[in-house]
Amino acid sequence: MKNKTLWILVAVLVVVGMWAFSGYNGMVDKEEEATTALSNVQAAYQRRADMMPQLAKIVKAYAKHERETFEQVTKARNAATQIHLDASNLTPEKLKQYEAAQNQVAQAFSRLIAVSERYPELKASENFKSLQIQEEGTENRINEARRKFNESVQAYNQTVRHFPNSMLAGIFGFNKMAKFEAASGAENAPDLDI
Amino acid sequence: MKQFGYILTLYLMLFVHPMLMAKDWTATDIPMVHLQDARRYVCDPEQLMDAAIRDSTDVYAHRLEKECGIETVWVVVSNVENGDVFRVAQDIGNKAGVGNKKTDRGLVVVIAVGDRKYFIAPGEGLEGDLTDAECDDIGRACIVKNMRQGNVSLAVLSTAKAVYSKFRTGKTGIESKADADDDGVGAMIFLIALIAFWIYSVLRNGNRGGGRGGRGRTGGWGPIIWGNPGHLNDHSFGGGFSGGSFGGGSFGGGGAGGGW
Repeated sequence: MKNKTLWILVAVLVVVGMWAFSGYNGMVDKEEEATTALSNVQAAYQRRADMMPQLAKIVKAYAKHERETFEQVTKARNAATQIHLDASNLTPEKLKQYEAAQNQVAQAFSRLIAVSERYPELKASENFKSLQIQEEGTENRINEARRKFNESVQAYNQTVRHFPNSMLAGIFGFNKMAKFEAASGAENAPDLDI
Repeated sequence: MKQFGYILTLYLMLFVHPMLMAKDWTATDIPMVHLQDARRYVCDPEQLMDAAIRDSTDVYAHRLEKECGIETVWVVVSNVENGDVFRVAQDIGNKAGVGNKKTDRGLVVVIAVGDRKYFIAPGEGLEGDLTDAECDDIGRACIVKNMRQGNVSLAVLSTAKAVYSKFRTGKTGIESKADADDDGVGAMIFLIALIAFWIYSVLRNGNRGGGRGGRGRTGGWGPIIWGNPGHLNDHSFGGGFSGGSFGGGSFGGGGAGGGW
């Protein structure tokens, strides 16, 4: 009788252990997916930041008098590149701060491209056109990366919040992650239709 | 039985066809023809393209897959949901997994004729070789130019030719105006040559009938010309088409699109 109870106890422990093992690994996988997606978002934003000096250089060659625009571009770029997101400590406030800085960059970019309206030679420049196409692609990549990040965070959050996974998440410290929220106009690419 | 056939035909003509015509297609409801037939890549559910040119495009797409390792999907429809060709291209790429999972070398081209929009979306692994600027060049020279003349078939075929040329020779071949003007004639010559070669191959193989001990020979050049992925060395090929598959590639928003 005593042996039987012991075997049942062992069997229960094995089942619980297997569930915990599988649940833990599942949460780790989902967290990794979200972390990778966050890195892709930052890489997409970095791509835009890297393009700015190139674009500014081309615009400067045709429009030397637009000093104020160039200063805004430099300022916005510097501010944005100083903020980095850490997947292990991702709070809604930090995401908002990051987004606000990136929105400044987007606006500066728009202003830089809008300058071409006043300079027909710049507008007709092949280098400028090429960078403009690249910029459109970069904005698409940013939106796509944000969308994928939000999707992976949603999958992760669902996993850690569903019962009984939520118990394991509490024990092992899998906290709910924040998503990008569409602030007014933040999700839109700058208007490049010039 | 005959009556049932008439009713079915009438139903299809009255309801299904207009429904297809009026549909705003999304990535999930565009039929992926490649999954049913490995030799086909052009999804044209509304039959907007000329059948012969569609076949020619399939040949180029098949060559892209076999010779360059690039899986492609070509979508030609009247309208897409919200007129968002970018979204449809990305969703097809990601959901169907166009392109090898390791290399991510996939390509999705979506043309929405009624929306007057197109998007050329390379997979993440192809973005370096087919840049946004090149996608834009190809789109303007092949799609915009032909769509302004109302020639959707040539728009798709010339795009396929340009992409194939890009990966075989490193140049899209769209710089040359003479070459671009030659698209229609070139396609016709290519088709005639294909048909002639196919007939020649069939006749040649047919004359060899005796002396091979009862083993039917249906391989030859036919599969190479028409495409028969995975069965090029299959001597008992015949009796239906096998479905293809996609490799699980992913798309990150690259490429270029526009309107006409």
